[in-house]
Formats: sequence, structure tokens, C-alpha cells
Amino acid sequence: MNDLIKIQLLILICIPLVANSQSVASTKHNLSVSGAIENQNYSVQSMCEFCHTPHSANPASPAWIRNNPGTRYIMYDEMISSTSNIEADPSRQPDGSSILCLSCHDGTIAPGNTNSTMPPGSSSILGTDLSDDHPISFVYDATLAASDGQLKYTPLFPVTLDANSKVQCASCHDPHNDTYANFMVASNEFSDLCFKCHDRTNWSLSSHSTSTAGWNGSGTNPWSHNETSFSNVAQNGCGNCHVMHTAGGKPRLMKAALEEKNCLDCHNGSVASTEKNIETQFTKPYRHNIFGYDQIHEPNEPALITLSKKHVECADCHDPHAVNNSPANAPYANGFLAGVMGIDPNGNRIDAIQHEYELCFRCHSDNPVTGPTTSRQIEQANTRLEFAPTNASFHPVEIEGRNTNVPGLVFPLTESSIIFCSDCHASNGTGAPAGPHGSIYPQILKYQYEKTDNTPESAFAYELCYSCHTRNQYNTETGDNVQQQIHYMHVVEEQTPCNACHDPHGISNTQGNPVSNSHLINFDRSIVQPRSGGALYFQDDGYRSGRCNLMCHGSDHDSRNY
Amino acid sequence: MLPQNSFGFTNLIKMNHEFYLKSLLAGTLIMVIFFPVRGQSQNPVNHSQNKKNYSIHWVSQFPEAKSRKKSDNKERKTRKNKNWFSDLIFGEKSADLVKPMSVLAVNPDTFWVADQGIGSILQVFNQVGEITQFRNKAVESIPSIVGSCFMPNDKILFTDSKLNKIFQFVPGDKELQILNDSIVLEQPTGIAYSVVNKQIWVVETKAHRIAVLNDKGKLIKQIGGRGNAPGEFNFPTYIWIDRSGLVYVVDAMNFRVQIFDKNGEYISAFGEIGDASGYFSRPKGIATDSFGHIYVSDALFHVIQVFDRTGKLLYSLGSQGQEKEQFWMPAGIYIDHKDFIYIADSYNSRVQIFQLICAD
Repeated sequence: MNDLIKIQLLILICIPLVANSQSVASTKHNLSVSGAIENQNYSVQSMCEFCHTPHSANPASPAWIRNNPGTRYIMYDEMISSTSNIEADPSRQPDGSSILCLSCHDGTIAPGNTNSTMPPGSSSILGTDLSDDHPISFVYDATLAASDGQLKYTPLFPVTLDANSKVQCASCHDPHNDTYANFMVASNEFSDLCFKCHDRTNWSLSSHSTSTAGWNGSGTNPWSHNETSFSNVAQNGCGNCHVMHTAGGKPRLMKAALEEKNCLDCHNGSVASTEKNIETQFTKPYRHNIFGYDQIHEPNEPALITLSKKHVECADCHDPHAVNNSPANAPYANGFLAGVMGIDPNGNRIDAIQHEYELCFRCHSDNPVTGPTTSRQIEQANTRLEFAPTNASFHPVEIEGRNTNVPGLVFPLTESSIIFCSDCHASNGTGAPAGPHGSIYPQILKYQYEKTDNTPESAFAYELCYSCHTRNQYNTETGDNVQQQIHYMHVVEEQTPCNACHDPHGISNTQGNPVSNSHLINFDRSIVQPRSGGALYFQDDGYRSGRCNLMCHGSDHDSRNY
Repeated sequence: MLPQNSFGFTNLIKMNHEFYLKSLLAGTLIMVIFFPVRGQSQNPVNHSQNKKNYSIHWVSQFPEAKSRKKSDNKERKTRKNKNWFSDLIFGEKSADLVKPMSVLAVNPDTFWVADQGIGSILQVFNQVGEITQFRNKAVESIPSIVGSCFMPNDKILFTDSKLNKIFQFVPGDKELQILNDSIVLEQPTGIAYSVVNKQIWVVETKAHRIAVLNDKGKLIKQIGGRGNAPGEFNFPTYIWIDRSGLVYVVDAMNFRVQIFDKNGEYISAFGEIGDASGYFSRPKGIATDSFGHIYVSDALFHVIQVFDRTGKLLYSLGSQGQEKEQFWMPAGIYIDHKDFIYIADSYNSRVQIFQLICAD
């Protein structure tokens, strides 16, 4: 390139700067004495020179160094056409035009603590970075976009890269123009600016992208971390949870270091509607304890949780970029669980669950984080096996149940209905948010489920069971079938809990069989004992008929049948 | 003329007197081994009109080059991963710097670094850094630490330009206090203590003036105001007071250094904007050695320039880069009473230590 072309290019580059100069004059970036106050006595400073150091100085020769003619320093606005840029270590050092910004924005002349750096490699290792600001001075190219997987191949206008294809402060900020506040190159309402580079699958349908909920004034303003905050969730977009500078949660530029705080600041009654006030649920004694773990959850962690990294965070069950209100019938996952990973019935990872139970299997399957709570004849901690469709019996979570004649099902349930895990395991209380956040009942059960022996039968004691299996099938002796009389005798007269004979999840076909373990029969060994000869089994004799060999409540069941 | 703050810390100085013998030896060795140095800017000084030969030599850096890792994250101590047991046996690991803004030193083995990235003061003792974990919660965090200075009785003051506060603490005590919580400051940055009249001078960058406080933090007077006349400022930042009470202020956006007497009377100024040695583009830290030479770092030149009182350029130290004797946006400078020069090399996340050697 010859010099003439270079000069012409330089003029072209300068035209928009000159055109913008009027707007600089009225911004905070006009640092000149004359720009700020009337002062006729002294020479007027150029408002440009503060960033664009005049390129005309004659170097002074340092007196201590013989024959040294001094140095002319290359200023960063001269580097537009230069390839002599000194390579920065992007894990630590800003370069290019960003140095101009940071040389004032270091807490001295201008607000600082912009420790913006980019670790080598993809975004997945942001977690090891010390930075609490959006990274700068890194090359943004197709390779980066491919390794990240959720970046556009090249930024969209008005976000620009510098001559070395690097993201710099000036990618998002136009220091000459403060039209959009904070010198943004465009308004970031609805996070429009973020999406010039970032892609998030399902975002446009997500509640966090569409909700018009605003802060109702209770508690603290959940958007106080934003320098320019908008009045509702949709407008704040990414800024609901993320912050570009001085982020509390450094790894992913979250506003707060404690993962759950990013969610609960809105889901505490201050922004999200009452039915999404999750914080109160987590004050209950039985809960998925999101408070108990810190900095363990990783977005790219294995779907199957390992016991050494046992944890639960909001983001384990909800993808805030995809979550929405769309309802679903069991077994399909509803919108609250959109986009989260899971484990399928065969134990394989799936990236986005189709069925609710697949989410639960992340923790409650091959690496069970919780053990059985009842000591049973057949014990199985792997919940995935308990619900396998090939089992002798199971509650119909994956497919419809085996029993084609279940008396007393509450309308609209039928023998072909399928239910959710969260039909039983959910926050208790009328109007409580859906899902197993927290409950006053053990195992995060939605209703009371009494398991202790000699419990007087009542609507409350077995409220959980009675929510699907009509109580009057069990609490009256008068009935037209044997099955009802058997239940009345055991549950009402003998005060035996449902849990003594029935294993509510199911009996794995690796352990049980269709003769002894149909109808969810799997005895609680703390209540049911073997007979004197050691026999302890139920035998299915066909339609509404069976026999027991066991010892219970001091009564020897010697093939006692019905 | 002696540099400021040679009082106090006498015990620490005594503990480390051996260091000087070692460092002199090491300095001599470095001179022998590394001369002649590669670039012109790294050439040692061997000429002076005062018939003295001054030379500036690299001494050490913290953290040492070999222990610096990319994206290291040692100081992030989450509730889960702090291994107290290994700390008990092997001793606490040395904490690294993130973004040092200013330095205070007794000697090259004992110094303190105000680090904006960490949001605290890092104490460095025999190349082991320890973040000062302040016990009390006077403030939730220290988001924008900038300047620092020694006070009598082993006290350290530092400023936070966002909280608009001056903090004080005694190393080892870890009790953080706000100096005069009732004083209103506008973006305090540089801070220095005048031994001569027992005053704290703090630069209020946003107000373009200097607040002069007594040693309890009570406002005595304010100097300056916005402008470019003598004694006026346009975004003043770092400040240095020498042993005789002379005050040197980096008047950053007037691209000059202004010098005041101990009473705040304007004496002189030098410097102008330009893109060549001897000029200023983004002047930052300032300090003087025992001969009265004035050292000014420049964050856009990535050098330290040394001037005499008239503004004549004497020496230019360093260039942009990550190697020894290179800088990446240097910030605060401190010079101790033995003319060891400490540079907060902010975006190289380190402190580099040099020494001025004078041969008659």
C-alpha cells in the first residue's frame, strides 16, 4: 500500500470522528478544562488530545544516556494500519485501543476496576479467570465461535472488532457518543447488544425474555447491579442475572457469587409472581438445598451427577435461558424444565430432556445422592431401576401401569394415566409453586405420608395416597369387593400404614418378580417379619386374589389368602 | 535530602539488614553478567553533568517470574476448597497480585501492595505474599483501591476512589478503620504523608484539588480547583511528598507535574502532552529518590521517566512488554530510603524493583 492510499484511508477514518466531535464535547469524555467550566484566561485545550495524544513531539534525549536521541512512542490510534502491535497475554493484558480506555478507567481519573481479560481457549474455562469483567483483547473468529458453540460467527453491526479482529472496549462502547448512556454503541434494551455476538437456544421464547414483570418495590431492587436498568424482566434481558463489569460471580459474570442469589433476588416475591415465589419454599425443612453448595455446579458438568461433586443449584433443574410457562402432560417435561439435560431410562445422557423423570435421574439413579428411607425386603437406591417399564409393578411415571384394574382412582385419573415425579414430590401447601423445591414433609412430599406403624387412619395421615386413590375405598368396611375389605382391615383396624406393604416407586425387575411383587408389594421389614420357618412373601393369585406368608402385628400369616 | 517515610518499621529494617549486603552483591553480579544490555533504553546510566554516574538496575520482581501462571486463581477461596490442612503443614501459599496500583516499601523484602483486582493490601515478606483479610466489616468490599502511604506508628493509609474513603490499618493487626468517616471526599486517589508538618495530603481527582488533613483526618485546607493555571488542576491523581516536605502532584489531564512547598504554595511545574520521551501521555505514579530526581510512570508509553526539578529528562526506563524491565501500564511508584524503586506494573500483575546506584 503506498503512502497516498494510507493518507486517504486516514482521512476517511477521521471523518466520522470529526462528525462526532460535537457529541464528545457534551459528554464526560470531554476532559478539557474549557469544556467543563468557563475559563477565558488560559489556553483552550483540544478535547481530542486526552485520548489522541498529538503526534508531533520531538523526543527529548535522556541526559543520563550518552548519544541517546530519545524515543517516539507509537500511540494506539496509529496502530490501526500497523501490524507491529505487541501481542498481549489475553489472560491478563488488555491491548489495542482498550489501553486508551483503561489508562483512565483505573479508578484514578475515571471509574475503574475494569480487570478485563480473556483466558486462553473457550468460554468453558472462564471459571479459572480472575476477571470480573467481560473479556476484551481476544481474537473473535470462526474458531472461537465454533469452540464456544453459542456465538455468532462474526459480530453484527454496530458491534465491531478492531483491525486485529479483537474485541475491545470499543466493540460495545463508542467513547465519542453518549446517546445510549454509558457510551454504548446502541441501546441494550432487551439485551439487543448482547445478541449481536451471543446466541442462546430457546431464548426468544423464554419467560426471562418475554416477561413484563417489574419490581414491586419490596425488598431490594434486583436490578441495582445494572448501571442502566430497565423496568421489566424482558427489557433487562441478560442483565437480570449477568453484569458486564465488576461481576460478583466472576466465572460467568453473574451478578452474585452465590448461584442461588441470582435467581432468588427476583423469585422472592419482589418481581416474579406469587406462584413463582420460590424463596419461601426453600425455608422449609425438607428441600433441595441450593444453599448448601457453592461453586460446584458447572454448566458443562456431566449429566449424571458424581457423588464427589454432589450438589444442587437452581440451574441444575432450570435453564434460565430457555425456561417458559408452557404446560405439559405427564410424562412430558413442561416449560419450567425446558432445555435442561438429563438421564434417559437406559441411563444415557440427553442434552435436553423430553420427560420430567429424566431430570430427576441426574441425581436419583446410578449415583444415588439419597438412600432408601424405608428398610424393605427388596432394597433399591437406583430410582431409575424402580420405575423401569419392565418391572413387575411401578407407579406409572414412564409408561402406564401394569394393573388394569385400580379401584377408586380420583377423576380424571384412569388406569392408563401417567403421572409426574412432581405429582408426589413437590412443595406442600395450597398455591405453592410447582416442583420439589421445599416441603414440610420428608422426601419433599406434597402431602402427609405417614409411614410409622400403628398410625390411626385419617384423611390427613395418608393425604398423599388419597389425593389419587379415593379414601372411601379404604376406610369403610362395607364394600362390594374383597380388595376393599382387606385394606379396611389392615389400614383402619390394624392401623398399618400403606407404606408397610407397598413400595410406592416400584420393584426393579433385577430383584423382584411378577408373582411376589405385583401391586407394588415390597414389605417394610421394620413392620413385617418372616414366619417362624423363614417364609416372607406375597403371592399373586390373579384377579383380586392373593396370599401372604409372613408375621405381622403378632399375627402369623400362614398362606392367609383373600 | 532523604525520601519520606524512613521512620517506623525499624524492627523490620533490622531484621533485613542482611538483605542489603546480599542485594549489593547481587547487583554487582548483575552488572558484571548482563552488561552490555541489549536495547538503548536499558543501557545503564554512566553520565551526568554533576560528575556523578547514575545507573538504574533491575533487582527483583514479585511474584517471581517462574511462579506466575496464566489465569491463576490461588486467592479465590471458596467455602469448599480451602485446604486448611495442607496450609497447616506446608504453610500458606503465596498469593499473587492481580492489578497493583501502588506500593509501600521498607526494603525489597518487605513491602505492601495496594491491589485493585484483589481489593485489599497484599503484604509481601521474603517473596511470600499474603492478602490482608480485614477482620471487621467497616465496609463490605474495597472496590477501587488506588493510593497508599505510610504513617507514623507503623500505620498504613489507603484510598478507595469509589467509596470516597481513606482507610487505615496497622499491618498484622488487620483491624480496618475509616479515617474520619465524616469527611467528604470526591474521588480520593493519591495520598501522601508529610513528615515535616504531620499532614496527610489526599488528591480529590473529581474535585480537581488536594485536601490537606491533620494526622487525625481533620480537614485543614484545600488546595487547587479546576483549571490549567499554576496551582490549578485537571484530574490530578498520584502525589508524593519528599522528606523535606516538597509536594509533587501528577496533574494528569494537564499533562504536567506540579511542585508545591510544604505549605501548599506553588513552586513550579513541568511537562506537556506529546508522544515522545520527555513528554506525558498518561502520567501515573510519582516518586523522588534521595538525590531529588523525579520518577513518573506513564501508562500509555509503558515507561518510567526520570526528570530533574526543571523537567529535563534524565532517563527513560523500560518499554511495553511482559519481560523483565518491561511494563504493561505501570501505575504507582515508591522509592525507599536506600533508593530502591518499586513499580506497580499493573497489567503485568507484578511489582518490579529497581535500584538507583550512584557512583561519584
